Amino acid sequence: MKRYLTGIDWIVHSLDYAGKSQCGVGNASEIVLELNGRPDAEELQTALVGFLQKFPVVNGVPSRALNLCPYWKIPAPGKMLPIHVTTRHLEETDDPSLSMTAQVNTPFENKRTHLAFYLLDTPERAFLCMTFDHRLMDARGAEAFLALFQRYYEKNDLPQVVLEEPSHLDHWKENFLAGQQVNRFFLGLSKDKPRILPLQTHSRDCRFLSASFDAVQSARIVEIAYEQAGYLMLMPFLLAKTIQVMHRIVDSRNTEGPAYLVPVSVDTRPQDTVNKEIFFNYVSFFFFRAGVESAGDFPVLLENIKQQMYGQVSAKLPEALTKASLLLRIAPLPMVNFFLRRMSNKSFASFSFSFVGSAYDLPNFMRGEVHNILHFPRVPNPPGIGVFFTQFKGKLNVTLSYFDGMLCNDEALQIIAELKAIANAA
Amino acid sequence: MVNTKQIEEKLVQRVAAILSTDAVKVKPETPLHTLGMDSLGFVELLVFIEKEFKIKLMESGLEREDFKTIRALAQRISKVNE
Repeated sequence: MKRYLTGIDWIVHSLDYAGKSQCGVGNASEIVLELNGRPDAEELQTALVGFLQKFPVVNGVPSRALNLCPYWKIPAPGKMLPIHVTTRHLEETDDPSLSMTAQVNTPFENKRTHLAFYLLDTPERAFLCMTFDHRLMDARGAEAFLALFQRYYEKNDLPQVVLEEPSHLDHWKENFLAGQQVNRFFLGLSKDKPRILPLQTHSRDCRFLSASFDAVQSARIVEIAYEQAGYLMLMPFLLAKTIQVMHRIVDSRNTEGPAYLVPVSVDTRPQDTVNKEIFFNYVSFFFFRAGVESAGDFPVLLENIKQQMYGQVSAKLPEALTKASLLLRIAPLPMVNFFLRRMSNKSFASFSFSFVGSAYDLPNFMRGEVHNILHFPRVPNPPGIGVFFTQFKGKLNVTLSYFDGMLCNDEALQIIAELKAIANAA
Repeated sequence: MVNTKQIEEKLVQRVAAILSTDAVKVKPETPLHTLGMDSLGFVELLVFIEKEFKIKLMESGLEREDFKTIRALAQRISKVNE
């Protein structure tokens, strides 16, 4: 069976290619469920084997059809690879985040493996960790995938999951016009080389720091966002705060460049749709430019971000990017990668940003209560650094992801401390 | 000239489209955030309002009460249009 890849899928494949070429690890991410109970490892293994057999797509490989359209080649149900859940017991003094970091920086076993599971067992609580290949699913898809597993585990209920995707070998004029719009947009953005931290092309590993906000702090942030940015303007508020925080670090390095350029992934699908479209990628992007002169002036910066968001929604830029990216599929991955770097003047962005709503809408995983969900995405290099906000049960989390060497420990700690302080801002 | 009821109906249709849901499930008296609207969806709604009713709401000094529900929003648009 084949599932045609969209243009956004192909860009994700090109980022995977770039990662593997640079350091042997592709475009992967890790989702961690912090549990108040301890799942039985053997029971989890058995349940996962039964569940995954329903989804041969998880052992697919990319290929190209006779019509030149790239597709995901899905093996027959009987040809699934075995899956193993590894358990690690940690002592009270061990830092679980070190194991999580090591896992997401480890390449998958072979080209047909796109998921890896392991349990971290500490005296306090347990962590269910799933590393996933971004070519197979995105962050919301990963949460929805684990929620689907839980529903199957609890009730043996398996709702229909959509895998079909048309080849999109039509509407050429529309796609070329979208390409023209996107090209003009990028030409406008790429006049000045954005401010970036020095890239670490020799690094293989990403490092992560995260912070969680409790319910009171999260509600306070929503309130502050309302007061300063307006109703339902949490995303632009968090982005503006992040640019302000990153500016303090980048500026202290005497880095040159007149502006910051920040790609922001967006997923417009409602939850019902995410629950059906679990596999592959459905995001698009905004691109925000923040002049250095406004990066330290929060009200100006925030207004600027809101205006850019309004302008890009009005111009339907995310939709245009989705359509234009379909044209890239004809090109082999090295060429797509070259094209993307060339288009962005070799500096794709200052840092990445995203704000993802929760797609895991259940209280438990197996029999343990889910206390929190964290994401550790390996950020593509360049830019090699990103800030990612997520939500679970109305509580916010933030993760800083960066290639080893891009930040010193103090800088990373300062970024997280300043982001954490958003909840205390007046 | 459209009246408040017609504005409300147009907003309900648009919100339903943004949230990919059935219009009958979108109650005009329900706050937008409890319907599942996020920043992006809300900006899409503002863009729609600008194009449909020729009003730039982001620049018109809106208060929290104006955005509380689709009904309140429709009343505000109607008032600005007068």
